[in-house]
Amino acid sequence: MKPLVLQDTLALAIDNITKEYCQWQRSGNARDIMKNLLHPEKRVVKALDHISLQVKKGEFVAYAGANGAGKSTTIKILSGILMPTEGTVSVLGVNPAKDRIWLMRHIGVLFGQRTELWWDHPVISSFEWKKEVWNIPDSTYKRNLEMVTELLDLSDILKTFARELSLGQRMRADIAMLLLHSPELIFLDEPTLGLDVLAKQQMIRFLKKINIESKTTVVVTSHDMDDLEEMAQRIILINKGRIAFDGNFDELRNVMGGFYRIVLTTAKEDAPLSLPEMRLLKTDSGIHEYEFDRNALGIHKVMALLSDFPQILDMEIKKAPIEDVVANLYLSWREN
Amino acid sequence: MADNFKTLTRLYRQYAKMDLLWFLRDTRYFFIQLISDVVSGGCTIAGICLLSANFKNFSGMTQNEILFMMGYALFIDGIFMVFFIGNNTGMVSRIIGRGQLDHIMIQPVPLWAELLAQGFAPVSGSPIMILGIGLTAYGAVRAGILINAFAILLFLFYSTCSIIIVMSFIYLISCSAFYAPAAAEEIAVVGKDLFSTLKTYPLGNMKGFQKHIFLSVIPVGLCAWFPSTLLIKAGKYGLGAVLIPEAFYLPAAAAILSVIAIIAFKKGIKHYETFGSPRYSGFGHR
Repeated sequence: MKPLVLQDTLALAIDNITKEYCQWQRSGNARDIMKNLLHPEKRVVKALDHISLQVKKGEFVAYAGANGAGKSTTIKILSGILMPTEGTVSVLGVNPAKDRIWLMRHIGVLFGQRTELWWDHPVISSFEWKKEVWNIPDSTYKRNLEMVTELLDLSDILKTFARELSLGQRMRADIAMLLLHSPELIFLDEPTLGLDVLAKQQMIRFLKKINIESKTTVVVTSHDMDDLEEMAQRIILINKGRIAFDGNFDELRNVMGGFYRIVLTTAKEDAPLSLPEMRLLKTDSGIHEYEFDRNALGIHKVMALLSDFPQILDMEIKKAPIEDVVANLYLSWREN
Repeated sequence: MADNFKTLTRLYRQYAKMDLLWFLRDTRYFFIQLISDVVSGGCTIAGICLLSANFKNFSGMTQNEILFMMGYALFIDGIFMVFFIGNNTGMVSRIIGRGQLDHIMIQPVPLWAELLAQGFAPVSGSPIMILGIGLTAYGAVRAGILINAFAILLFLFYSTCSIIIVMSFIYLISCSAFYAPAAAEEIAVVGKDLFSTLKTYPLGNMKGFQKHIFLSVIPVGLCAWFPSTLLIKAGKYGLGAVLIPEAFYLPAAAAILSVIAIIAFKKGIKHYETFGSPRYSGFGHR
């Protein structure tokens, strides 16, 4: 039995869970019809393979992985919608499969590609529906409604029918509805999917705010690594159903060699500089971008190297985009 | 138990409010729906009157008794429309087949309470029920059936049993959508159509075996003909004219079928939780 203090500080505790699915296999050949009917071929796929992880209360965790890595399966298991094949799960100290009703009063779940809004009703009717189904006290509902209306800029769309909202407006309304019952923990599956830059920034600012001010634990999945880096303090990368990385974003960069980028500007007609210690990524009209391994080549060495090139007009050093780091990581996993 | 009842009341209240708001959402839609309901109601009544004229003294029932039976059948359709038409509750195979149970499972209420309440449409679904009440009363008066408090209570009790049979049958066949979601997504519609088209046929002259089929395995006879004959006997000749086994057959059948449906549905839910939303399985939502 786990000590009580651990239960009090943990929002999630996943212990050695495995989830297996059965996939039907078909050759597509007419000669296999009888074989398919009599002895259908099935393949067992491990969506999650003995995963263990813990998330403390108040954390903002990014849960990422390539398509089919097992992200949505994990969120469904944590929400009590799906049961693991083996292993145990504890969310806010309870088993989601056994205490679903209690748990749903304390957590919020949002699947980005679906909506919980009532399609043929104005947004405010969906909020009123939520108040009744969740039995939210008047004072809490009023306070939260004012808060989300202001922070997510909803006043213009509260009376609009859900089916007439744009994708960005719908996501904002869905997130607002998710928070009306003051959940301690929220699961967001692809909340920035399809949003434009402004809508995305607004969403990210809002999620960070409720994480910091209300101490709401947030677990978010997304394919947009830049968004995840902007939001979360910790990233868990999942590959083929296993945890491939668990740490912060700087540590993730270091895993891939701590690569940095340097952009050098010269006169338009100049050719790229000869820097054998670095890898030239692209060059265009006197702007040359290189990549270097900061662990092998310190910044002071870079400066010393560049001092030999008086034609440099400007320079910029930046971390490698997290998208590229993760893309390289996915590629290395695929090759292995 | 008391908490669940409170939850159910709260849900019914909320869905009634939403149905009213939906019905009155727009002047144009309101009038279009009103006119279409009047036209559809008129067609229903005309159809029933023509059928009852054709069925005159058919199957051991007079024309007015046939009218009463058809009023009863229409009332059952009305209950379905008022309590189960909203949000595909009566067409539950669509909810299962499309993987939409997830939406219900993330609500902090018992699954049964949400499934029971979310179909409640007391405003938009009421025209058929009102017509059903009117036709049943008209048929009862014309057929010389005594109308008193007991007769009304008996009518309500039998009609509750009949709608339990309809819903249990639909839920039972809809359970196949847990295992073959794409193929069985529309199976509830087939089940509903079976009752809508067959339940108004009097079974009086049918041979034993066929009649038993329609009173057991395919229980369409229990949703109009059988209860109507009992109500006509009790209303015309007194309660003593009704044999005890036949009086309890309908409630017993409703209880047995509903228990089987609940067991099958629970097994299906277990499958849903174990293997995930069928939307993502090999035979998932198209």
